[in-house]
Amino acid sequence: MSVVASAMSLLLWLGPPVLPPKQGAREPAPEPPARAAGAPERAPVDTEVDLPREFQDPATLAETPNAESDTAVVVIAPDEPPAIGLVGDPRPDRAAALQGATGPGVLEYETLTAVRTAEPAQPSGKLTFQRGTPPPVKSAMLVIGYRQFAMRDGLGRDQTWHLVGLEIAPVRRYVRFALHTEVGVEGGEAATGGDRADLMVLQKVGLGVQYPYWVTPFVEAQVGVGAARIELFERNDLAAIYTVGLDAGVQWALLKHLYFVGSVGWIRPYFAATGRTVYSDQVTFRVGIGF
Amino acid sequence: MWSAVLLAGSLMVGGCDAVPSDSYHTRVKYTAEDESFSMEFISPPWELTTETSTSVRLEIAAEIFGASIEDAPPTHVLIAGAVDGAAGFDTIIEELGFGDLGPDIPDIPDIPDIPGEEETGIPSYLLDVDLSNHRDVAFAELRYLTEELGGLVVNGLTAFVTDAGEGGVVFQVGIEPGVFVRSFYFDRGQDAALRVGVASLFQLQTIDMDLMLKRVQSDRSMEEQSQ
Repeated sequence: MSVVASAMSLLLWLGPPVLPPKQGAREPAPEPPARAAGAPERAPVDTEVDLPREFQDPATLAETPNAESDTAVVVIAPDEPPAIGLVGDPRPDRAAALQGATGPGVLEYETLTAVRTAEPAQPSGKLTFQRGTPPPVKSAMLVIGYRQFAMRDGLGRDQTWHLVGLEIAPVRRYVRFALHTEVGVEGGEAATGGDRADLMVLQKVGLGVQYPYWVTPFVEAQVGVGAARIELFERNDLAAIYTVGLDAGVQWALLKHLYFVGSVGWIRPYFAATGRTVYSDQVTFRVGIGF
Repeated sequence: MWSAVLLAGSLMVGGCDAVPSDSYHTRVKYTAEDESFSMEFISPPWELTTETSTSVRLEIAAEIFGASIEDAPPTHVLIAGAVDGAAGFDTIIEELGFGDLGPDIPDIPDIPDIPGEEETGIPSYLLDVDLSNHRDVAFAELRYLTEELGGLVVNGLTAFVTDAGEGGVVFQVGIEPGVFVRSFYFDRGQDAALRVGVASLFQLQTIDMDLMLKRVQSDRSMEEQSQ
């Protein structure tokens, strides 16, 4: 018990522990001297203030004619928050502070000089960056197109087939699946002579791959069935048609929902009638507008 | 949609025996056994029905969109061969069903028997004609069709040149009530002229017919070509 009492006495004698200040810790500001009650408010006194050029002595100005004059001056009074005064400050108290005033001659002001380092802000110019429309992630869903391929008729004349088609693509991302409906009429040498006008209707399905972007390249294999009305020597024949083919082309997104479609490819139409079937390998091209 | 795919697939499997062709039609070249002439026709619609050593007969059957019409006469009949061996127009027109078209159709007049006709097989209206001269033969048959059968001239006697450069003549006559006869004649040199006669219920002055007949060749042009 006597040991505990001795330790307590020692601690009381030593007082609270004094720790060293932490590195970077802010020193507590010294308390300003208390102003005596009823004492007059101290006025700023004459000090070594770096006055602006307008307020400097003409003799001094003559010695340094090219000196800068736009230096900002900060006058801090211990009892007041720092105040920044600039040249030409119209406030009377600030002007008085700058010019000096009579009062108790105790220098209690500190002067800070701020130097302008930042460049003045430039007027904002025209915007040069604008976020554009993102590229399409799918190709056209609906295409109205024109296809052409050429054959020869039985009499050796050029027979050009002109087909108008409607394409609907329910799958049109990286894999494309499309339904094509095409209606065609014969042109070329025979039709130009007014001898006849054969007709054709086809329903095709296409399966392929593509990379959707502003310009979407694609490759598509097609199979189809249909019928043709063929006239020769004034007799109308009805032939069943089935086709296989391959189209390769692009869809160019002119607008968000407007595409130009162009492709070239190979088509093999089979004509089946009267117990026999013939086919012909032909080059074909197609142009269209997609939506 | 899937039915269309299946149908296309089945048709492709069934079409494995398909043959390549530039056209839906197949071009067939016919050469007479005695090599007196050759010609090309396209099938369909033309079908070869009768063939002798000196002549050939082709027909186009009556069909509507591939469906044949029962008991209907052919719409086109073509007979090609030397004029001294091929059938005459009276036979062609009769086979077209000319007599069954209506009561107003005039009967084909009987041709009087002429001595020697049976032995030669030459129609009576050609007995006094130089058969080696294709123009004389054409004129004689044109007169027969107009005067004896009451036909009207649709296209008079005009020149016709084949792709092989062989010169000939052609005319077209319409016989009421709507049978057209168009006949081509080519010179074969020493022998009887070559005649290709077509009778039809349709107008025969067509590009199709001209292109087909431009590929006719007589033995003379065939010999020149082979040399």
